[in-house]
Amino acid sequence: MAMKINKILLTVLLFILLIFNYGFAKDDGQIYSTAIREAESGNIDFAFMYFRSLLRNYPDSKYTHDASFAIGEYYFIAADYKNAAEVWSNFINDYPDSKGLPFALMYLFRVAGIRRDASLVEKLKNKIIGLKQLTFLFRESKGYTYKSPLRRKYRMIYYIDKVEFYVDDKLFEKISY
Amino acid sequence: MINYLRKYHTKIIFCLSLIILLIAAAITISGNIFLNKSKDTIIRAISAKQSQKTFIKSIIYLPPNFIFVSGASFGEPGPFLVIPQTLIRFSLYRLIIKRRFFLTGASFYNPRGNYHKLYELVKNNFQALIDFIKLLPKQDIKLKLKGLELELGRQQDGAGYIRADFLLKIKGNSLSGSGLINKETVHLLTPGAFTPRGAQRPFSITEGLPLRYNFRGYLQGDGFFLENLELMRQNFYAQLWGGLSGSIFQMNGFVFANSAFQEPVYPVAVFGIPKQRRFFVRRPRALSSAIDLSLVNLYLLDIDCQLNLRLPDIQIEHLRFLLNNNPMSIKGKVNLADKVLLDLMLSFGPAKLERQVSENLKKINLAIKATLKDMVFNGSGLLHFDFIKKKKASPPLDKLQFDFQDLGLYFDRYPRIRMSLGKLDLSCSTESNKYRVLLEDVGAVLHLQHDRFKYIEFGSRFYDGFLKGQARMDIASPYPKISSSIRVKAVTANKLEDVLIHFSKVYGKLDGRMFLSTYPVLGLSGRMSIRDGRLQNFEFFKWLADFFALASLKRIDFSRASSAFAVTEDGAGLYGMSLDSQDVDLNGYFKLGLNDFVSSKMSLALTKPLLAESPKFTRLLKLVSPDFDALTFKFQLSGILDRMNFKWLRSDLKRELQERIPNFIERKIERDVQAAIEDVSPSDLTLPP
Repeated sequence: MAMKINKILLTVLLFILLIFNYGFAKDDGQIYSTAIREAESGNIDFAFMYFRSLLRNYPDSKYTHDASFAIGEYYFIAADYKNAAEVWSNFINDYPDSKGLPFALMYLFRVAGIRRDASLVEKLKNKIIGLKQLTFLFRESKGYTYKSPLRRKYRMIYYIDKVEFYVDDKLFEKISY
Repeated sequence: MINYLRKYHTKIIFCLSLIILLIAAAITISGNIFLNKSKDTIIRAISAKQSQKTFIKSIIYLPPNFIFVSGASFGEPGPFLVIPQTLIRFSLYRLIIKRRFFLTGASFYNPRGNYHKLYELVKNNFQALIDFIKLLPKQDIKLKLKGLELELGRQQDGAGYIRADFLLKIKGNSLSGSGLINKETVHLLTPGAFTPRGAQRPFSITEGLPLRYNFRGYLQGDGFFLENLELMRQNFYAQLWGGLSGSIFQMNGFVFANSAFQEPVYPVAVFGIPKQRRFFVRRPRALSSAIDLSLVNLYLLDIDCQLNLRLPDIQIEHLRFLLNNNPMSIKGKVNLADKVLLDLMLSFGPAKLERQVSENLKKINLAIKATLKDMVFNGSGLLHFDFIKKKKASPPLDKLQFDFQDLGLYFDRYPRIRMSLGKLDLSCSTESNKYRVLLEDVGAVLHLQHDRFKYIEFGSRFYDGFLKGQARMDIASPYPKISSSIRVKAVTANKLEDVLIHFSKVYGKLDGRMFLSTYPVLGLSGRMSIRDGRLQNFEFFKWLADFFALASLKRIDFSRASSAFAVTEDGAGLYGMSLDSQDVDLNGYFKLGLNDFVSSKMSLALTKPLLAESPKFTRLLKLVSPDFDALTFKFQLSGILDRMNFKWLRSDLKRELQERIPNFIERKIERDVQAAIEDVSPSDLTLPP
């Protein structure tokens, strides 16, 4: 009899947890959608607040990757280089396979340059150059694009001896080797 | 009134004076007669104390207590020491009362001699001299040496004199002294020996600034203690203190020096037949002996030395000091027997100042066993350099080691030193590689006469070929600036695999020329060429052979392969590479920079018969014009060494192919090759195309 009660209690508990989880997942999706809408409307401050709220309240959400990238972007735009460096470093460690990784490295490279951290600049340069091994048989260059949660367009163009980064079609960084 | 008393007194004084004068004259005459008669006895007594023949021209007694000796000389034929005038002072009181001769002072004026002969005599009789000094009665004495001149040699490279003044006073237990020493070097401006009878050529004199010294101390037990020994020159200042107790010699102190200081040279034109000492024209100038501390670039601080003197053995228990803040220590043994034997361990570094840590050097150790006799140094040893882990803008060395056998240094024509070396095994290691160079039968001549620049010419067997070169060292700065040029001839390239592993796959006779410089940046550059050789399984061609099924590329016979090379702090590179062979031509450059960054452009021409071997090229050959005898591929490499980017550069071949291949096929080939590359680079980030 006692065993039966225990089983029922366990089932109820699991049910409650599932209900709650479902509720949270819906919430983080809503927050993410709102943040994107704000970004598309050009309200990046509000978008940033939603993304930050998403990260704080739903650290395991499937949107944390985008939220992290957006927060890094926002800090950089706001010239808060200390926080930007921290966010981009975490992003590079947490999402090594992200499509946004080259651009996270690009931002961190720029921040390291602003902060005159020569050894970090050198390290990041190596990392960026070593991201891809490329062959140019008939083409002069190869490019990769990425659209960020703050709705900024990123483009990376590899040449045989340099790599260029564009943000919203404007040259942001060039690394020659 | 006549003063009889005064007249009487005058007579008495006159008489007494006359008597004294007569007595003095009698004593002087008898003394001189006695000394003259005893001259031979005195000469015999002096000769008995040493093996050299002694000659004295005259001995004169001068009242009341002086003896004047003129024309004393030691050694025949060609005396090694001549003392024209000696004034000896003795105790008259003790001579009369105790009837014994007590020396209270001796002054030697203008003694002159041959430095090398005197050095040999002192060296050979060192212990006897020490014993003699110990036997001297402990009494007050004053010894003076004025205007000593020691001839160094009359050959072109070593003509000159050492000049010195010396004063020693011993009173009770205290002793003090002072003096100066300087070296005057004669530089003949045209080749040829400086001979007294030969027609003389113009010459210049480096006067040699005097080194002045003074000391004070006291005698104690079976030794002495120096409270202060001061050595001063315009480019040198030292203060030392310590003493000898029994066989233990202890010394502490410090030294400042300006090694970039240049001694003034005075041109003196002399023609005709000179007298032996014609060029010896002046006394040392009364220049300031104070060093300008702002110009000091070499300083030895905290000198702490302890020697155990058990002659002829000297045990260096420790000799420690800071050389420009770099700790140095020496330990070992020196034997002053017939041959001077050295068995020493020297250790240098690490530097303490942060600025010098960046110089990359961590420690230098030298272990050496050697002998020194008749100005010839022979020895073998191990010189070992340890470096701090590679830093940016520093030589990427971990360790550097010189293992040398049968080193001979011949100082007989100093400042020109001959050097011979039976074997030199030079090895160095970097973070990733080890390199080794073997030299045998090395011969070299060092030219040290110039104050600032030192030159060396050298040659040796180099594996089965030989090597020749010259180097110049500028010692004006604390870290010597070296520039060197080396020529290598007829070495079998394959034997150089320890120098560079890639040579293990290269066969043929190698000639080369290289330039090494440590200033303004450390760098090695040059050019090498190999005649009538072959490349066997050379990495790049082996890869091509395997990838494109071109087995012939595994062995490429060539008539000539050449390349310039440069190694600097920024990396290493091959420039102007050229390979001429029947089926393969390669030209271009390959540079490996910091952090293994590659920069390269090359042109590779492969003949049609060679390409026809590969089924992969069959279709390609059909596409290109039959006018081509060979297909030339021009390409560029860049990026990080182990994941280099590749670009096929524009060429006639590429243009022709592009004209014949539709665009979509080009894109397909591009994608396929990129995919193939990504397959072998699994760590690539997968980016959308």
